[in-house]
Formats: sequence, C-alpha cells, structure tokens
Amino acid sequence: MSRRIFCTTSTMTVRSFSLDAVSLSKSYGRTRVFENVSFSIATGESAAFTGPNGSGKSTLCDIAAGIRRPGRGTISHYLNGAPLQGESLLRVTGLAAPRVNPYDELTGMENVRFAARARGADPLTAAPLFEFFGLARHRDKLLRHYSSGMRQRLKLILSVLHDPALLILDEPGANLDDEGRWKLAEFIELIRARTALIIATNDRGEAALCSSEVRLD
Amino acid sequence: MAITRLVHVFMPAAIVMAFVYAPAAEVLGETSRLLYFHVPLAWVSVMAFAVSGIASVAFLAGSKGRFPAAETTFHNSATLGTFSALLATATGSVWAKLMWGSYWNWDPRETSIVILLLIYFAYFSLRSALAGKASRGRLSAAYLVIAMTVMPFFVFVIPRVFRSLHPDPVINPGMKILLEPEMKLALIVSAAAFSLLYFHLLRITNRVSKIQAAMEDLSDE
Amino acid sequence: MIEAILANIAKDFRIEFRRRFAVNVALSFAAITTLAVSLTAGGARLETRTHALLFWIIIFFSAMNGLSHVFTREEEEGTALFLRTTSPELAVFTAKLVFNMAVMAVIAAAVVPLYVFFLNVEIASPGRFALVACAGSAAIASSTTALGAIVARAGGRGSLFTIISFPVVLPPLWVSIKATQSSIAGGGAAQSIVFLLAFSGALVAVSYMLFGHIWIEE
Repeated sequence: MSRRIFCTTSTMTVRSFSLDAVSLSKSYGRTRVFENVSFSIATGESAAFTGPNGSGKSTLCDIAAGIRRPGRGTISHYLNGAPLQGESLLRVTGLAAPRVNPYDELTGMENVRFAARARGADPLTAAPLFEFFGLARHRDKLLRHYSSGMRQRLKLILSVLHDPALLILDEPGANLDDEGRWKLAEFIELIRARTALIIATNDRGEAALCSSEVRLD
Repeated sequence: MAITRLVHVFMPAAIVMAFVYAPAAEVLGETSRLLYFHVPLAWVSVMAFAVSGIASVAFLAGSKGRFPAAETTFHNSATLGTFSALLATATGSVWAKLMWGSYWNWDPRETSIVILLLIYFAYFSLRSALAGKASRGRLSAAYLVIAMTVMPFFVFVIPRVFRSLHPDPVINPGMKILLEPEMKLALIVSAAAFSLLYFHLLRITNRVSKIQAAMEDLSDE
Repeated sequence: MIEAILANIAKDFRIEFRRRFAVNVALSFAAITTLAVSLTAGGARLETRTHALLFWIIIFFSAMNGLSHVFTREEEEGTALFLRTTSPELAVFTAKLVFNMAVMAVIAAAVVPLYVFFLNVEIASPGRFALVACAGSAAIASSTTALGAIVARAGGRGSLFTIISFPVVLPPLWVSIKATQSSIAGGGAAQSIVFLLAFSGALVAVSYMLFGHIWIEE
C-alpha cells in the first residue's frame, strides 16, 4: 500500500529526521500558555501532545512545524544531519489542524494541486490518497460544499501528500465518523516507520497511537 | 548623568544667546530670533526620524531577540519626533506670517514637515490597531523601515514639485537673511542644546518604558 | 521556487476569478468616481493640471479600495495558516505582488478610457500618457503590497490601509501627476518614468527583505 500511495522515487530512500525542542515557553501578553517544554522526536518515533483545552497544544504544534516562533527556548530540525529552515523545513513538514483551512473557493483537487506544486511535490501522488480516504467522488467539488467530515479528510490528504518526514496532526479525529477514524489509524500504521509523528489530542484512543507523551497543563 | 548636565548648560546658554547675544537681523528685526528655535526643532524632528528608522532596522535584524530594547527606542523617538515636528510647524508658521504675510505656503520645507507628520500619524494609527498583539513591534518597525526607504525619494521630488520660499541662509547668495558670526554661533549652540535635550528625553522615556515593563512583569507573579 | 510562485499566482487568480471581490470593488469605485467627476464638472473646460490631478486621485482611491484585499482575504477566511504551511514566503509575496499589479492594470484600463471619454481630454502624446499611467500604477502596487500584508495582520480595517499607504505613495503620485500633465500638453516624461521605475524597484526590494518579518506567526 505504501508503494502504491507514494509512487515517487523517494519512497525507498532511507531518511533520518530529528526534531529537538529545548525549554520552550510561550506567552501572549500577560497570559503564559506553556513553560519549559522539552522533547525530541526522530523518524519512526511518535509523540502525543496532551492536556486540557487551552493548554497550548495547538500553539506547540505550530512551533514544532516551524511556522510560529517560540517565546523562549530553542527548537531545531534536522534531515540526514543537515539543519532545516524556512523553505527546506516546509517541504518535509505536514500539518493538519483545525485552524489550518484550505480554500473554500477551490475544489478538493485544486487545493491538492496547489499544495503539491507549492511544496515541490508531484500532484499525481494525491489520486490514490483520495481513494484511500474515500473522497474520490468529491474531488472536483468546491470545498464550500464539503461536509465537515469531508473537509477533515481533505486536510489529512493535504498534510500527507508530499510524504513529509515530520507529520503533525492536531485533533485529527475531529469531525470524522468511525470509518474515517479507522482509515486514519490505518494510514498512520502505513507511514509510521518512515515518519516522525506528532498527534495533539484530548482523545485517549488517538494518544494511544503514539509511543510517547508530552503533557501540557 | 553627563547628558543632563550638558543640557543644563547648553539650553540656558542657547536661550540667552538667542535673545541677548545675537543681534537682530537687518530686515526682519527681532522676529528673526525665531530662527534659533525653529531650525533646531526641525533638525531634531529629522534626527528623531532617522534614529527611529535605524532602531527599527536593528530591532528586525536582531530577530533572535538580540535587540528587544530597540522597540522602545524607535517608539519613543517617534513620539519625540512628532512633538518636535509639531513645534517646528507651529514656530515656522508664526514666522511665515511675520516674514511673508501668510501662515502657510506649501513650499518644499513646509511640505516636508507635513509629510513627516503624516508618516508619524500613520505609524501611531498602526500601533493602536496592533494594540495587544505580540507582532506589534515587528509590524510597526517594518512600517518605519518602509517609510525610511521612501525618504530619499521625497528629498529628490519635493524641490522639483514645489517652488521655494525658504531662504537658504548659509549658501544661497540672493536670500533674505545674512547670518553674521554671532548669529551663526547662537544657532549652533541652540542646535546643540535641542539635540542634547532630545537625547536626554529619549533616555528618560526609555527608562520609563523599561520600568513600566518590569512593573507589569512583577504584577503577574 | 518558480513552481511555488506559479502555483500561488494560479491560486490567487482562480479565486479572484470566482469571487471577483477585489476587482468588483475597485472597478465600481473607479467608474462611479469618474462619472461623478464628469457629471459635476458639467462640461466645463478644465486645465491640464486639473485633469492630471483628478485622474490620479481617482486611480489612487480605487487602488486603496482594491489592493489590501489579497492579504486581508487570507486572514478573514482563515486560510493564512494553510498558506504558511504550504508556500515559501518569497513565493507568497511574489504572487501577491503580481496580483496587485494585475488589479492596477484593470483599474487603469477602466479609468483611462472613461476619463478621456467623459471629460473630453485631448491628449497630445497618447503613448507617453499610457506609459506614465502604467509606470505610476506599477509604483502604487509595488509600494502597497507589503503594506497590505501589514494591515491584514493588524485587523485589516479599510481606512488603516489608506492612512499608512498615503505618505508612501505620495512621491510617485506627485511625479505621475506632473508627467501626466506633461504628456497631455505634449511635453516629455522620460525622467519621470525613470523615477517611477526606480521607486518601484526600491520598494519591491525593501518589501522582499521585510516580508519574512511581516509574514511569520508570532
């Protein structure tokens, strides 16, 4: 299945990704979101960010993805020993989150084509993904006509279509029915070995998909 | 503090020299004494803008948090620059009425000061729209850098678009005010006095900002 | 990178084509203002200088109504984070700049014929007039794209964009007015066009350097 979904030449190359976060803190004005959070994650490993609502899981996801600056502390990303920053980090990271919304005015396929081209990936790799997540029939519908479950599946597709070395899923099961959640778990098993995985969630079942936990409270 | 002492020396000296030491000009009489206040104020407003611009660049360039204090500098300098520009406009306007008969004439220098005021106004509008946001420092610094980039273009364009009423006292031969040595000295002393006052006030306002920030940090603990 | 830029350009144009928001607002404003000017002028013969002035005032305010949209839209629709995770900064800025240039082109293409027709202007050097219109419009787009990004992060209130853009746009506006006046009367405009291009170049360069700081999430 892995070979069918990611049929580019990069599939079989071994890659070694690592992320090191040391003493991360974030505050907004007077509110301290979290303090002194440290963790590391490498290819093949998985970590769950857990904690009550408002504990900063989403903010930590953004920081891990490199799109938000930590207030204090350092975070570094490496691929095969070389440091990643800016564009190079973007190309190997996938983030699916409630606040990361694709374009309503584009169809599912147009969103996918846009994301693929922008990251330097091949849009054709997405076709089997549509099949896998059950969106093949809705590929050419405008996103404004998607149900919330369909939208969530598309967000998942968008976060994985470029075979990222670092995959961050913020509440991936939200809005998904049982079938959707099962597909998600199946997909995670497929890519687990070659991805560094982070799942931010309140759901014990989702957290159980990860081998380690970072508690925020 | 060294600057404070210098201000205490220079400012009274400047005032005394402006009213007593320097002679009244030929044509303008006693009204020429406005020179010793108007020109330094205009000069300070330009200098304040330059300091704001440079501090903004420093703030952005030290993006790993190396120069966080630069934000208070560029903001306080902008505030001081605004006051200075307003005072320069007011003194210039009064002087224009006395010299040329009307309060406002849109000559190049007058236009420049209005533009500076416009830029400051835009800067403060942006700051208040960004109130409470973590990105306030970066975005307002970015605006000042853009405004600074536009300055050379203004300097080039304005004289070509607006005719000039402003005399150029030192270089231009056919002008209205001839500066005698005493007047030149008074002007230099006054310019030094106002510049020192600016730096002194900048230091004070920066310290106040720092104390305010420290107080807010303490009140959270 | 080129691929990312093209993907962003295609995306922005496709969305605009479907929603037509920025273009509609800018064009309506341009058309209504031009008509308002010509109706209230009541067929009076205006000086060349007045024509140049009115022409550029219309273009400036139409631009203020249309150029902040491309960034504000991303923030309002909640797609800004998605954009940040898929596209490199350079690609985002380049695509938005190209988009704003296109909006200015549409505005100019609408205002020029409407103005010339309704206000009965006889232009001595039409070629030069067109060049000045292009160079001036490009200067406005070049300088205000980064400002649109700043305003979008500040909450994107419409008047804030105009307030912060006006001082920055003033030099090219002056020069464009003078050059337009000159081309209507049949004089030269080469120096002005060079100025406008230099201005555009400088502002685009500074915008590129600043964009990373404007775009990153705090």
